[in-house]
Amino acid sequence: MASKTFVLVVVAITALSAATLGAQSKAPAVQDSRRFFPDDPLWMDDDMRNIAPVAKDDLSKSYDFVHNTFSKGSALSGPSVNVNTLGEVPDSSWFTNRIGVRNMTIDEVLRGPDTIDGPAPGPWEVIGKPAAGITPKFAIRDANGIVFLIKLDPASVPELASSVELIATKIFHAIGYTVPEDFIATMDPRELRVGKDARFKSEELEQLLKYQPRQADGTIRVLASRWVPGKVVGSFRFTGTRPDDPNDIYPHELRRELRGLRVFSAWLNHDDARSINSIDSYVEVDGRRFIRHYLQDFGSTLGSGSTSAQQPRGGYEYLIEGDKIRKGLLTFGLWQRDWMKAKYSDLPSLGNIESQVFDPATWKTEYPHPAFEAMDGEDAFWAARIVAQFSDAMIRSIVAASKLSKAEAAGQLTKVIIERRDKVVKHWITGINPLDQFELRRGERGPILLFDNAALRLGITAPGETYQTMWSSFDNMTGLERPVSDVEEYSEPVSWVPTTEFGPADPSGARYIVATIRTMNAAFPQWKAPVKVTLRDRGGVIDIVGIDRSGAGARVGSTTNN
Amino acid sequence: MTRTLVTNVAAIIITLSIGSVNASAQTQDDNAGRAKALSAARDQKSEQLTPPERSMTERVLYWYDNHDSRLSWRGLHVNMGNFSGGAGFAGGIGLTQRAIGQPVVDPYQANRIDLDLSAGRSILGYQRLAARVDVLNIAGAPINFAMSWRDDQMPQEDFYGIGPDADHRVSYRLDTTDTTAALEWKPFRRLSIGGAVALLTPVVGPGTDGRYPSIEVTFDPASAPGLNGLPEFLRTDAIVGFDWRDSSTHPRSGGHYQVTASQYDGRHDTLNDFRRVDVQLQQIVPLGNRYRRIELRAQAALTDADGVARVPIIYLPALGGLSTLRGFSNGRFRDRQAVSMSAEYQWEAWWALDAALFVDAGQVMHQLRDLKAGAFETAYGIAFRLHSNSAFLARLDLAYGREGFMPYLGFKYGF
Repeated sequence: MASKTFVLVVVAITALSAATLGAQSKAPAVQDSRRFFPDDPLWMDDDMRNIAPVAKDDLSKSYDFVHNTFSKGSALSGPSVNVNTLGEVPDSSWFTNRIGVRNMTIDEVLRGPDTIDGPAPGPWEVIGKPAAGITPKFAIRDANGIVFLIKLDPASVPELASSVELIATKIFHAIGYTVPEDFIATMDPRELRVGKDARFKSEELEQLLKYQPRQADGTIRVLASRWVPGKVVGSFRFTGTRPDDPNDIYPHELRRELRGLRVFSAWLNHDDARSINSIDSYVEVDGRRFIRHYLQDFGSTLGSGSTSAQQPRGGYEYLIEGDKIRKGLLTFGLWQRDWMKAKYSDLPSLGNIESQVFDPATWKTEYPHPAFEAMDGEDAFWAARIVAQFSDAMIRSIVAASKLSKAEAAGQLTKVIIERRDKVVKHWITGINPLDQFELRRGERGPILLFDNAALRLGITAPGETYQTMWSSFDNMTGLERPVSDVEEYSEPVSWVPTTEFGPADPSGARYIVATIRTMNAAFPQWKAPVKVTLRDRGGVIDIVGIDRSGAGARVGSTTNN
Repeated sequence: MTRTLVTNVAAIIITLSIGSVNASAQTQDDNAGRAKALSAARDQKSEQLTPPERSMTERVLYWYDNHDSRLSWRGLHVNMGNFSGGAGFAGGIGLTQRAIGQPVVDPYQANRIDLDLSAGRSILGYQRLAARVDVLNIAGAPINFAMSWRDDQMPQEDFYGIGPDADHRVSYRLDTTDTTAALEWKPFRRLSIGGAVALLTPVVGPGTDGRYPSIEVTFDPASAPGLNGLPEFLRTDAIVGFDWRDSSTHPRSGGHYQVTASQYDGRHDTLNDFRRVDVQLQQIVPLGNRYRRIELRAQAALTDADGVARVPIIYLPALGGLSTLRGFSNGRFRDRQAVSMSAEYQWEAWWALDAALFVDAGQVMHQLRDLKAGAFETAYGIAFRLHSNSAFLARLDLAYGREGFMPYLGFKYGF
């Protein structure tokens, strides 16, 4: 109970005081609960402090299913609390900003998390067979002594599981998650030796490999996933915090990177994005020991369902949805789910993946996901901006790295991923007022706040909207805003900063002013909801310290689909 | 007041921009900082650490996750008795060993040996003991051999008389021990050719169903052949089948066609010798996609005997029950010939549940030439089939015929 109480306390603190990273909340200011601190915006959340060893905390996958399917309302709601004052996710043991904040080269994306080039050729010692998961697999130690998990493709859909896992690993790493080093490798069964302590019979190994498709030289294509560093101490949950980890203070369902994972998962059809496909590993880095949080096991992404092609329902409907079952029964088949109309490629190595019926808004995991349910428009916008960073050429190269033997398959998969990317970006970028890329420039009358419209920049909409801006002075200690200008409407995404109207100085000497900006576009009435941009003046040096999209951050939740 | 300025200021900005003003200079304010506040929150939590705890529900489900969920132990398992319809609620135990002597179960392993033993009993006193040994992929070829033994005690089977108009319900007891050897060859994946030899030792006696008279009260050996005793039978079968369904237990497309020709020879007794041919046709027609379909089935069971020989009632073609003419009880109609057909409109109500509306029709007759278009018994109803992504799990058929409502619960796919 102590841990639950603590969670509630932390949530209260983070939601109502300045101890939250997301400081532009509408919470009342109390005591020294200033909205902005001198070190804002924070780009590093130091949750990698040295901690004592922790016990293993294995999750029951059945409980996860039962609890999330039948128990409603146990997760917290409200805006994400682990974001900085710009609405961005700071680097942490959960997430490292990569393609969202800087340009990555294709080579960099393809390199991903890899620190080596894959398992070394030569004899591989089979050292065990993990019980978890449904993918046929076993662990080996390569000639250099490095441990890998070897995952086999289902014989009926060769190349499918390994290719999607590699693609997803590269993309999730570029996004910012911590993932294992995965490789498409060639395994020579003649080089396998079952170790003495493997608790895995040679005959079992032979059976596993017996019907695997062979290449001309007798080798087998496999996915080699390097054992993650450190000591595995369980999986992380998508609610609450880990009670034995002092670094873990934000309820997981209120972490933006875990809520925004819904957008990425929808893009890549990662319908198995649940707790058991995560790893908490107790690692040591630069003398500090802490828990690092991994996403892993992407075998059920895109067209793959790990041990077969993806079920056509996958990504469209939870395993149990009472209203759909009733409707399905009572309409005698006259009502058909949209996913029943989907057409898939005949190529086995693509499985069941398509982009035409796919709907980013109604995409679903296998069963309700508390962090995904909690995602709001701000989380989705954050994620969609990152998705938009993946260029066509980058996607083409990532698919090529998965080494599909048929060029036709690679081409079709690339096309589907690009089309799904476009749908995801279009839906979630336009879901809220899409003002973005704020910067200050010096104009002839003083500083100018310049920004752009992400929907325009990404070619989703045509020009034609106007921008209404109103300036208010801001008192950082009380949180009070006082309008200092009329509403100005421009056809350009720009506004002069009224430098004489900054609010009173806070204890650090900084003064603040807020621009409240609405985008007027008849096709997108939701863009009228304002984005608030806070500027800070520290001795004549002005910077952008706050971006608040909460006015447009309505909870997205799980929408119904047909 | 709203001022509207339509300007092209972007160009001006670019021209006049002489550098960004968002420098990182920072006023010192050592007493306050975001990082410091977060650090304090972590310090606070470090004072309240507790080990992860599971609720009782989670502990139970964690145990469930890590143990065999099939209620089995080393091949020993519980089952539902595997009785035919009418036996009442049943239960039993079984022992199943796959690929005996092999470290792993390989479906294609040459000379693989499987063993099944089972025993069951129902609340109506039905009992079954069964043993079966399969030798699969003999010498690496697509040839399977099965040897089975089964002892059934069925104390209250139903009999209504012979012919389409029979209506005197009685009960009888059938005890039978069957020993069968069967060989199957699959020259192609979809084609199977087989044969079997079976020794059958049936005994017919008074029934125990207190609601109805026992068979000897209403019928005699002339109206119920076999009532005065049956010999042991040697049955020889020839079977040919073609199966192109996409799944044998949860098909969504394709067809299955099978013909079985059997010769029943009474040992030291030719008065009960007869021949029987069973034709089973199944065709599944998807309606646009795999989620809606029409399933058509047609079955015929035809018997023939030489001279004065009779076909015992227990081997007469029968209609009624879960396999044919739902809406009538098991074995409701019996005669030398039986034909039946069924049409089902099936739809996927849920990924794990199919529903179906069905119509059945069937007719028994002494000779095929007695078949009359207007004499078919009919039944209709709704059915539900629970299944996994690929396999059948259970079925509930709710049928209506002229004799009323008949519910059927089953755990085996097939007709």
